[in-house]
Parts: sequence; C-alpha cells; structure tokens
Amino acid sequence: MGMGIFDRHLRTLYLAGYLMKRLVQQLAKGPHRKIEIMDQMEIIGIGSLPIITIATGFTGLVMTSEIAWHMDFALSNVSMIPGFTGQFVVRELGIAVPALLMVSKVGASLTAELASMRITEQLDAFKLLKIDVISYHIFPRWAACTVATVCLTLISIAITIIIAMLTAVTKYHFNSQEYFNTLAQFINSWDLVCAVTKSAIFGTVIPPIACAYAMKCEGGAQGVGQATTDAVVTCTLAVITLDFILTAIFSAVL
Amino acid sequence: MSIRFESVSKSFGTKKILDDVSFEVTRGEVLFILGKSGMGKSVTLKHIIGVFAPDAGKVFVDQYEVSAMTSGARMDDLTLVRQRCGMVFQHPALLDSLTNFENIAFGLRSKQYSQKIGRKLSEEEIRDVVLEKLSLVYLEPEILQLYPHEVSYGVQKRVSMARTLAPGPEYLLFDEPTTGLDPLSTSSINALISELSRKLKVTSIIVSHDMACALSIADQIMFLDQGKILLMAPPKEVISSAIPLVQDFFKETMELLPPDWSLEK
Repeated sequence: MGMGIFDRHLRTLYLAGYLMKRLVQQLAKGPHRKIEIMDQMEIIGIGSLPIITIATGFTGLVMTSEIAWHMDFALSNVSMIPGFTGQFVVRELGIAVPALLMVSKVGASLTAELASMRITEQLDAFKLLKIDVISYHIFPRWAACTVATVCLTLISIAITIIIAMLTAVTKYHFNSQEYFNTLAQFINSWDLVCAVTKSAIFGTVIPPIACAYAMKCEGGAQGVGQATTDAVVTCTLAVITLDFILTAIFSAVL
Repeated sequence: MSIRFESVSKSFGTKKILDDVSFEVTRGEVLFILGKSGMGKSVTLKHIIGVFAPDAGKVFVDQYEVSAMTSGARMDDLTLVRQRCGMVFQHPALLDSLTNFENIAFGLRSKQYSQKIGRKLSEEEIRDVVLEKLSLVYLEPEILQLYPHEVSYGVQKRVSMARTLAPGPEYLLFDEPTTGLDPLSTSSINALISELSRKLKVTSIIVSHDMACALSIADQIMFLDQGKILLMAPPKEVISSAIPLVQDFFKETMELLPPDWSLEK
C-alpha cells in the first residue's frame, strides 16, 4: 500500500513535470491568451491581496517584537532591529509567507476547480470539442499565478517592512529616517533580485503541481477533497524545499 | 458507415471492465446499452471517441480505427472521428466560464468545423444555428445569456444536448442522459432523444438504465454484464428473453409502465 501511494505521487509529479514543459513551450511559442491571463490576474492577484496584506502585516508586527525582545534580552541593545528585520524579511519571510499563502489559496482553488471539472466530465467534453486543457485552462492560470506571486511578494515585503518600522518607531523610539538609513546598510538591490527570482520560481511551480493532482483525481467529492489535500501538501513541501535550495545557491553566489 | 467493436477488452487496475466485447451499429440505428452500474457502459462509449484506448481489440468508426489513434501522429485522424460524434455526457459538462450561448456556439467557432464546411460561419449564422438547436431541445432564447450555474440542472442537460447537436454530428452518443433528473424532466428528455433520433436520422448509442425508453425507441438493445455482452437483440426479442438479468430489468420496467402499454415499433 505504501508503495502504491508513493507510486501515485511519483506519477503525479511526473505529470506536473510534463505540464511544466508544455507551459514553458506555450510561453515561448504562444498562443499567449492575454485576455484570459488578465482575468486570472484579477482573480488570483487582486483576490489574494487582502489575505497577503493582513497576514504579512501581522507577521511584521510579531517578527519585530520578537527580534527586539531577544536583542534587548541578550544584548541590551535594540539598535540592530532595522538590519535584522530587513534581512529576515527581504531574504526569507517576505517571500516564503506569500508563497505559502498562494499555495493554500490559489493552489487549492486550482486543484478543486480542475478536479471538479474532471469528475463532471468537463475534461472529456474538452477533448471532444478539441480544446487543449493545458493551453486553454491551465496556461492563463499559470502565467497569472507567476506574475501575481512576484507582485504580491514585493507588496508583502513593503508591508512587512513598513509595519516593522512602525513597531520600531512606536515601541522602541526609532525615528523613521534613522530606521531606513540603518536598513539600507543591510539590504541591497541584489537581495531584491533574489527575492523576485525566488518568488517567480515559487509562482511557477504551484499551478503545475496543483493541476497534476486535479488531473489524476478519481471518484466523486471525496476524490476532489483528497486531490486538493495532496496538492496543498505537495506544493507546501515543494516551496519549502525549493526555498532551502535557492537560499543555498544565492548564499553561495553572494 | 458504422461503429464496430472487435474483441475489445479493457481493465482498470485489476478490474476487467470490458471482456472481449464485439458488436456493430449500422447507420441510422438506435442502440441502447443497458446493464447494472459499473458494468462498462460508459467506458464503451468513451472508447468510441478515443477518451479510452482498449487493452486489446479494435474500435472502428466508419473506416477509422479509433483504437489506433489515441496517441502520436494519428491524433489528427482522431479529431476527424470526434467531429463525426456528438456526445451528451452523464453530467452536463458545460464550460462554467462561458454563457449558455457560447457553450452551444463553441463547436461552431472551431477551426475543425470551419474546415469541415469549407468556410467560417458569420456571427449571424452562428446565432441562427444556436437558436435552431435551442428550439430542438425546447428551450427559450432567454437562457442564452445566462451562465450554466444560473439555470437548473435539467436546463443544463438540454443546453448540453444543444451543444452536441450544433456541429451536426453523424453519431450521437448519450451517456445516461436522464441521471439526476426529476421524473418529469426524465420523460421529457427521453421524448427528446426519441424525437431527435427520428428527426435527425443519426446513428445513436444510448447508455441508460431506462428500459421503458429503450423498448420504445431502440432498434437494438444490448445488455452488458461482468464486462461481456449478455444479449444484443431488437426489443421484441428482449421482452421474450429468458436471461434472468434481462427479465429482472423488464419486470421492474413493467411495474412502472401504464397497464395498456404495448410495444409499437
């Protein structure tokens, strides 16, 4: 049974790899389905903005308080708050948190939608109508998810840093100018390039994995639920694993 | 011009769904496939449009061997076969993101349809065809601008039929078209299938549990059980069959039919 489950996941990941190949090919050759991508940008990007704003705002608040408390406790000095929070946000938290939120919001929704289409035979109808589900349905969502993840990551970084700055100003008596001056010494444009690259890769891998689980979905509502759970778990693991690998690569390059 | 199965076998995992199944449906015939759930009725239909490929045996639609087209270079031939077949799925299978009008018009806008008729239909012509097919399934034009989720399940089924009919298929495949419908909608969909089969004179294969409908409109009735064909015969022979499963189906049906019912075909 264990081997059966392992084999099923392996086959699904193989399908995810095939989907990724087809999506990249379509990106190179077209059709680019700009109108559908714009529609999906609105659904995925604008639709995810409130949750990203709230979640990263609170993350900034908690992170600054925690870092400050530990600095104060261990060093009796909080002057490094801007540098520590800035690096932590731009290199890690501001990228991983939006990516994981995209997994739970967008990845789950992509799997549930496509899996429902599969069990209600819409995908068979696609075949009969000569509609390529990858080109027609998945590609616009993939492109929109990639762009939206990058944009949301940048927004998330900005929000987290602003909240961190406000916390530092109100609780630890920094002034904002001083905060940003110290921050600028610790982060540079290369950090932002790494953040954009990481978020683009996260945004790129979520839809193929989510859609592969949907396309392998079997049974009724229970099958859709199982596919969605599997997709969210696998996408989360993929994001965390890739985060580790990319961080190691960027650290080596730096 | 026919649909032909030659010794077709198909398994999913360890479960054998079709076991050496052979039959032929000739042009203009109406074939009903009956049987208990999970006996391979829908799988049989999906072999015809190449959604499934047999593990062994061959499936022919006219001169085309569909079973050899499900992958590789012959996918273009499969497109030709699919153009000839219209399938009404068990679920309405409408595209949620499109209005009912766009769903029905979808096949008419395709490159393949334009190639088939030798030109591209104008928007006015597409609208005319959509309205014509809509009247065939007894729906009012008001539902055209609505999305599938804004109309009832019964209406969705009819829209699905209109979509199937729009490109003028030569073969109509119905997969349990009355599943999930109330008795009134069921009888109206059955009447519709019967009328379409007679009016359009297309070859139809209907997967169903509805023996009463089968007895009224089928030229041939096929019983599938345990992956094998138990019986394939005209309705008159089916009624007099001594096979227990067939008798059970017929007995259940007779209880639902009016006392003065008789076979008139």
